[in-house]
Amino acid sequence: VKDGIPVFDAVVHAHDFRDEMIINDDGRFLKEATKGDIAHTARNGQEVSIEAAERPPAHEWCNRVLFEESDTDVAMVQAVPLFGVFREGMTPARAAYELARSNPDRYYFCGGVDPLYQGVKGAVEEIERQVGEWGAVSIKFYQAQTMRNWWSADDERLAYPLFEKAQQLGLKAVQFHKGLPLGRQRVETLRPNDIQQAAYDFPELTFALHHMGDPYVDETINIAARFPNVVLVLPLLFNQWFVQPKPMLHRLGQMLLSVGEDRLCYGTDAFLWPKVQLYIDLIAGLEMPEELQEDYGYPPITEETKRKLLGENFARVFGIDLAAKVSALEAA
Amino acid sequence: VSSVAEAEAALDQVRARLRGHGGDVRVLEVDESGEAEVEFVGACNGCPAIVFTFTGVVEPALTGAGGVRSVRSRQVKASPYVRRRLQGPA
Repeated sequence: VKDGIPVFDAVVHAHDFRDEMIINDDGRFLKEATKGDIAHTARNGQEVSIEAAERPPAHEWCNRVLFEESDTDVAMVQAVPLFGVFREGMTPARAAYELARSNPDRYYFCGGVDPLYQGVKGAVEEIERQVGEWGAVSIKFYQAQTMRNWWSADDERLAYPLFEKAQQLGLKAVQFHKGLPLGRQRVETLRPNDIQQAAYDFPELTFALHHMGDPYVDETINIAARFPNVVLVLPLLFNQWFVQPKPMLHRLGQMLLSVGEDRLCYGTDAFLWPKVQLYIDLIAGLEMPEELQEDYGYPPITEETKRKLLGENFARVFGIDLAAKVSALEAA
Repeated sequence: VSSVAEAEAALDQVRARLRGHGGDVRVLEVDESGEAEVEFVGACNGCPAIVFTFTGVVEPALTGAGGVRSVRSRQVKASPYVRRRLQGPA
């Protein structure tokens, strides 16, 4: 809890970059690129963990980083089902589940499947298993597996059976890595545009888009503005803030102006960036400068904005009473 | 204007301008203090020009009909600076 506001980190991972998990040169490229990329973000107090880009983080350390060294109350551990370069995915569903199980009162588990690598039937069965056996509350997708293997969320044969299964099992939301290619896939195969038809066809299902679809930020904002069952999860915004504070403030301003404060969600992508308290403090101290309100029309950032951003919005997607959850945690 | 039905009627004079763009507006409530809440639908929902439509078209139609003191919409998120600029000098 930060200044009376409950904190729900929408996305943390348990990446497994061990050499034995990498299946090709693209995977080796991604591992080195990741280490290089995050090293450049170690600025203005932001710390990075190169170690977390070598091997899965220890559960004890994750729990300490999140729940002892920061004001985070609860978090969602999300799989990253990138099978094109990793044996089990960048964050294997198994690894995400095991981390979530290490502190079940504070973690929610988001599974992950892929209809190309598991087949539609296999992916549907795997959703069923991850929900039934591991208690997944959501499913994450990474659609651009390799240069030549990718799928679209509006594909009625590949994607819709997965959404139908998710709804049938009572899941409230599915989640998508959008933009920000993890390696050498085609960036346009991670564009958010395919979400429009899917969100239109599944109005009762929430589509959570991560990373603002960078570099397709304008498209992502436009789509979220028009489809009420789309929410934006913003880890990249905060990771990059410590490198480019003004451009990121403009992005936040544009999202607040166009999408509104009800559908933006705080998330960190820990544990490559383990000092998450920086982000929480950043949000707690956020103000929209008068000059940007006047010149760009961005709305003011209020205490209500911060409360929604830091956890209320993401909790609402999953029907979680966050205040009651935090009270129960504090009483325990 | 003191009821949703009367407020809806007051908007009929401008509705064609919204519908011409595939949008529309509906009145959710008019409270005892004379504040009306409206909701934009269709193409107006998520439109970057929503603040213009609200400030230049919908708000004057309602306040000009008498009985409505102010109008609000959760979908209009632009800063108070923008609203004041569009409203022009008092």
